[in-house]
Amino acid sequence: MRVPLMWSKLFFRAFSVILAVVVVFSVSIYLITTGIIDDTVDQIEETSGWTILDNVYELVSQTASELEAIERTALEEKKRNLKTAVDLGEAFVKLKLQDVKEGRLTPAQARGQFLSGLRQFRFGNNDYVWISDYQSRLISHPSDELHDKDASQLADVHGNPIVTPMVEGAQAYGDGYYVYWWKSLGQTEIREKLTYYKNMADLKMVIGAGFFLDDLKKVMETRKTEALRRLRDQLSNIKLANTGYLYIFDGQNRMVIHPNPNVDGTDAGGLLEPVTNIPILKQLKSVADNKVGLRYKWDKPNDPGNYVYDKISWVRYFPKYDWYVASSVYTDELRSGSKAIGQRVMEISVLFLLISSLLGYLFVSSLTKPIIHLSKMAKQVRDGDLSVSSDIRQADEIGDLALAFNDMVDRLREDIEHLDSRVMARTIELREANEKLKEIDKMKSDFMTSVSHEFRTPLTSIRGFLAIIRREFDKHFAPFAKDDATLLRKRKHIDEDIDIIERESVRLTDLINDVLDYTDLISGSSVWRETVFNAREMIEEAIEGIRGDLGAKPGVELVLVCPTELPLLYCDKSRMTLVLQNILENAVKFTEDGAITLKAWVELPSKLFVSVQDSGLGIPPDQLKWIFSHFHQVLNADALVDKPRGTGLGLAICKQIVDHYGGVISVNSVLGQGATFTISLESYQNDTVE
Amino acid sequence: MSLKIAIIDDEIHIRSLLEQTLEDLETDFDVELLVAVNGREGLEIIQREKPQLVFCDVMMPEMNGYDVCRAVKVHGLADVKIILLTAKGQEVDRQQGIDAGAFDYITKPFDPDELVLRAKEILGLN
Repeated sequence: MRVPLMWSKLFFRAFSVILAVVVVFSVSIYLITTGIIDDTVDQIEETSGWTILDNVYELVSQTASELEAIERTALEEKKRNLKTAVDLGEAFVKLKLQDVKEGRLTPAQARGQFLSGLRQFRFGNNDYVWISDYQSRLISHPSDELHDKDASQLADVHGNPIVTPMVEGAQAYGDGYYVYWWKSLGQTEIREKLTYYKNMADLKMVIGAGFFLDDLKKVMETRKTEALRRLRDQLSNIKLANTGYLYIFDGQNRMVIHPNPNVDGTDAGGLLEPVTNIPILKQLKSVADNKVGLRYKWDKPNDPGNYVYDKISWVRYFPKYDWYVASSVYTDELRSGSKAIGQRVMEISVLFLLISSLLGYLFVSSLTKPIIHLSKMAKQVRDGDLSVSSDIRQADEIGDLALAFNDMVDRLREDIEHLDSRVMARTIELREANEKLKEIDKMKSDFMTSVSHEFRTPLTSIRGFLAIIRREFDKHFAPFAKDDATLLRKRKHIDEDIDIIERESVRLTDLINDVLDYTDLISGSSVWRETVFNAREMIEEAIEGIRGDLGAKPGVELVLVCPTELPLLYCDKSRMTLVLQNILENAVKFTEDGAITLKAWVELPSKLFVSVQDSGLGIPPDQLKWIFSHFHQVLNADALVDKPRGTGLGLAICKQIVDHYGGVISVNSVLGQGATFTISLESYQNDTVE
Repeated sequence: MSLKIAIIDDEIHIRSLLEQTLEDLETDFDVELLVAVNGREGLEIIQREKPQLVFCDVMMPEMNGYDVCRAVKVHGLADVKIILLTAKGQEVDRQQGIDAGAFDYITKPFDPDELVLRAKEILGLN
């Protein structure tokens, strides 16, 4: 039967080991790698969160610096403008004074012209130029309220003198700037004003021009708003992970920049973190400039109001604006990177596993296939097929094995063929010898039969005629010897002689009969007549058979120890009776005086035992083992007065018969104390034989 | 009707033994003894004389005891009782004899007195 490769034990074992190694390797790689990746990526993500915040912070401070620079430049420019305006005014004054020098105008004309002319001069945001004399009298001023008026007592809303400090400063330093609170032309609102003043020493006058600082601030506010808008745009373009974002709130909890328009610009101070019920901004402020950040539960834009998502925020404080710049991101999103990498590692591991398994399968197959092939061939050889030959040709140990195997099978085949021919020859020889033996056996059997027949015929004559002689002698000759002592003695001798001849011829007949019986028994040509009968019948018939012998020995007594119930037997009744009778005859023969005990009993479950114990001479121990052999007679029988004259075949025939029915005949004897022969036979059970 | 006993045996001593054994019957009961030296002759005598009893040897050349029994049976001579003289121990022989139609058998060597008793019994003599 063909065994699929998969179910080959060798394959299974080798492949399992490889698979196990690969699986353990893959899983370890996966676990170790994902562990490291998780940690590293988390760290990187968190660092990047912080780094982005850093960058944004940088952006904010840059924007702030830019605004400052712009403000500074704008002020400088305004100042330069003021200087230019003052210089222009002074140039105009000098132009009029030149006209005086060249005689086109009188000094008074010139003074009148430049004082009134300057009153018309405007620049910037309706800004103007004024002139004061050293007595702080505003000799030229566009406002009628102040024109040609003494301004030495003029003070601003804070009570600071306005004109006098500038007149004094101009005389002391030539020029300078001065800040005070004033209203612009045609307006009533008091505003902060920056004024540039310059000394015109030859005229003993001070010229000045100013502008309102809040005009500049207004410009700066526009700039700042614009910068904030730009910052908002930039911030809204920065994403942390998927939905993480950046926002800015200030010390007063106002959301300066927030990507959510509902929150942007509102006061978020009342917003509570749902787990601790502490205002979230307060918590955020507490972790400002702390790289650890704040971890808390929050909702998601696509799942508002459900405060279950882990979130992390980092915060940096920007003191210049009292701003808190913050970035916040959902933790699971932060981990999505490591998850993606983990998944990829998993995919690679599985791929590695599959490829390794495939390679392992191919490798183990290539290793086990030839071995399975060889083992199959070995089994074929074992089952006698010596025509097999392996076609494995490999330059390795398996190839060597296959070649050696082929050699071995070849050698085996040669040997067996050699052996076969020898066995064949021997078988023929043996068969011939056997035939010859059978022939000889048959010849022997035939010979025995015809010999015994040939013996029997003359014996028949001898015995027959002897009987006739005795009859005739008794009837016709004996009466003559009645009164003659010599004849009487002769007659007695003749009687004795005839007795001897008769006894011996009977013995010869018995011998021939026994030889014939024994020959049949051992050659298997006996005919057996099985019947079912009670063991008691056998015992009674056997005793009946020795009645005569027993009668001849009055000193011998037969004791029968036998239960009333005896089992049935199934065998050749006459032969089995003969066995028992033979044993009893022997017992009588070897016992002169005493008892012969015949015992019968049953041993469970179904064995019948019959023993015959005599009180005769017993059997020498060295002869016990020969007692059932043919032509054996107990040698110490010489001791008997009347020597036994058996055929030497009796017990051998008994043994053959008992053996034939699977029984056991045994003997037990102590020399001088008699012998016990025991027969055991399987009793007949109703269900054993039909 | 006179009583007749036929003796069939190829052995001269056995024939003579049987004759001598049975000769008392001849003298005491006027039984006629008929003797044949082989099966064929025996069968002729049986057919011709129709004896009440036949002592017939089994082992004879040409026509043996069984053949004689079968022939007698074939010729419808059921009243002729044949006693075969057979070798002891040859169970197969005995059965074969009974099958062939023999009345009984006596094993050789036989006891002459016993033979006489059987003959008397079969012929109804005392």
